[in-house]
Amino acid sequence: MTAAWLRRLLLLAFALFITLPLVMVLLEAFGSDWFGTAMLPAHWTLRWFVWAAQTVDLVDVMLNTVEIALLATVFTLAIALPAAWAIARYRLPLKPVLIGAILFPRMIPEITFALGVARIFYAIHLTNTAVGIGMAHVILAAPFSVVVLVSSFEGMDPRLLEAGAVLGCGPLSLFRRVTLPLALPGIVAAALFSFLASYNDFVLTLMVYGSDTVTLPVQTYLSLGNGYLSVASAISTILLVPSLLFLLGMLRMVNPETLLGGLKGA
Amino acid sequence: MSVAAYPAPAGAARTRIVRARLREIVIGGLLTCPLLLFLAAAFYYPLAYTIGESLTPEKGTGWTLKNYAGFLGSRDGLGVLALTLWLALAATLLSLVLSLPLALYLRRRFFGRRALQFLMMLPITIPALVGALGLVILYDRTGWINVVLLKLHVIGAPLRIDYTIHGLILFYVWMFFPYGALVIMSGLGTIDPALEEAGRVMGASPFVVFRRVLLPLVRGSLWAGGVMIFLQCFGAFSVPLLAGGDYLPLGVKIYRVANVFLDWPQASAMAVVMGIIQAGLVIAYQRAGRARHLS
Repeated sequence: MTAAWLRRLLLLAFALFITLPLVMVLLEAFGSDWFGTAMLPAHWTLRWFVWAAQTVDLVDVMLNTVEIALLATVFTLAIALPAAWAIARYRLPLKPVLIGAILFPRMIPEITFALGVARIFYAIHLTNTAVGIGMAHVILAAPFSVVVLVSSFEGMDPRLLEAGAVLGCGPLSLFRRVTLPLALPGIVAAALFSFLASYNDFVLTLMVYGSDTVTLPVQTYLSLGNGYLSVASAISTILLVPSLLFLLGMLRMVNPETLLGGLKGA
Repeated sequence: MSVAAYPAPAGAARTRIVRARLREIVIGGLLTCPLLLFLAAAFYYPLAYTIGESLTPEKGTGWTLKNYAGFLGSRDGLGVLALTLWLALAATLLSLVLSLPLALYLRRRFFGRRALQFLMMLPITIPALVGALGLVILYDRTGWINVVLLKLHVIGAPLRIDYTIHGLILFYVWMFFPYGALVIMSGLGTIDPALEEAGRVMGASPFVVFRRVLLPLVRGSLWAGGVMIFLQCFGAFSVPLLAGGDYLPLGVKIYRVANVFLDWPQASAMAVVMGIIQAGLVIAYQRAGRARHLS
């Protein structure tokens, strides 16, 4: 009996260990007059969100972030889809080298190549543009998208494609009626990962952003630097939303272990 | 044997096979082309540029190893490297100590198991910056941890956790232990429960079953999880940027040298060293994994 209670207590401690930092961000974002050793803020307020909207153009920052993330997602899919299809379905020479070259960006720390990206993008006027920052994020999103897509394409039963062809599908309707439905879950997963990788990215963005292209993570950092802890927390709260939705959605569908490769802190 | 039983295709048939193979290679090449060109332009070229810049003096032209000497030959530079490695190592070991019992416990089915798995994914799914911000607030001198400990009279004065080495290690553990826990969980999932039952039937205590049966089987995933955590800690940026105070591990140091001191050649040399260490670890680990598989 006591052993069971001890276990429950440990699990509770673990749950608090994990969640309390986020609870603090929420308290800071929705509370005011939280001083000294008080456990809770004296008042609840939306003031910090309003303040953020007025002083740091929160709406613009949100739109920037979403625009960049959408650009990065579309561009990632555009180049990762054909490559993954070729890797999964074609016998190519030097395939291990090819895969190694595609995955290498995930093997070194972000800051290592962010330096060079900043230098080159600055030289060709891609810094402080949504396209440029989106492209920088593709470096993060493309390798993992290829991994997801290749495993999805490899899992397709070629006999289904043959059956479709035998039953009189032309190449186009074969693609529309057989290939696409089979590949769709993989494509959706790759798109979600790409979006999130871009939306959440801080290190690369910090190296290539400019005054017109501030994103939510960068604005969080800037507000902290200016000493506005509550404003930074309010921005962080908005920043958190897609990750939490993603996590809730994914946990319904798949095992957590399979998500591992795509998530990368920094 | 079976190959010899059929005559090799010749003449027109052979030409057709060669043509089909060629077409496969050409189309495959064309399909991978956009991605490879993009990575060459946006990743490999900047990386080469950084390597080149690390070999040039800050002012003037020509080639020099001065930037590497300035980093690896100075007390300050070696201190940064040692701090980075020490933080990563300590956080990795602590994370494994936390992950193993958790992974063992999460094997059973109980109410709230799914919720716990969800919680475990939190630190690695949310932006690292938000996690770092929350940690700094929580472990502040007036944060909940200190307030509760003071109210319970566990401590007499608030603990200093933010901006200390111990605090950084703790924050790294919070942020990166799930990588280890998830790898260990999937490793445990592949173990045949019959092995444990056999051990228990033969009269072994739970601890002996753990030591003699589970631990040897799970050793591979402990290593894999450990390496994963170590790499994440080594490359950490947001946590030390917000919570490091005077302690600047490699990632933050590179950022400071480049963006504050604008000494790009020096920052490049540090970045190259950091990249080589991380890539070397990944490759060495993959090699070791392959060797284990073959033996």
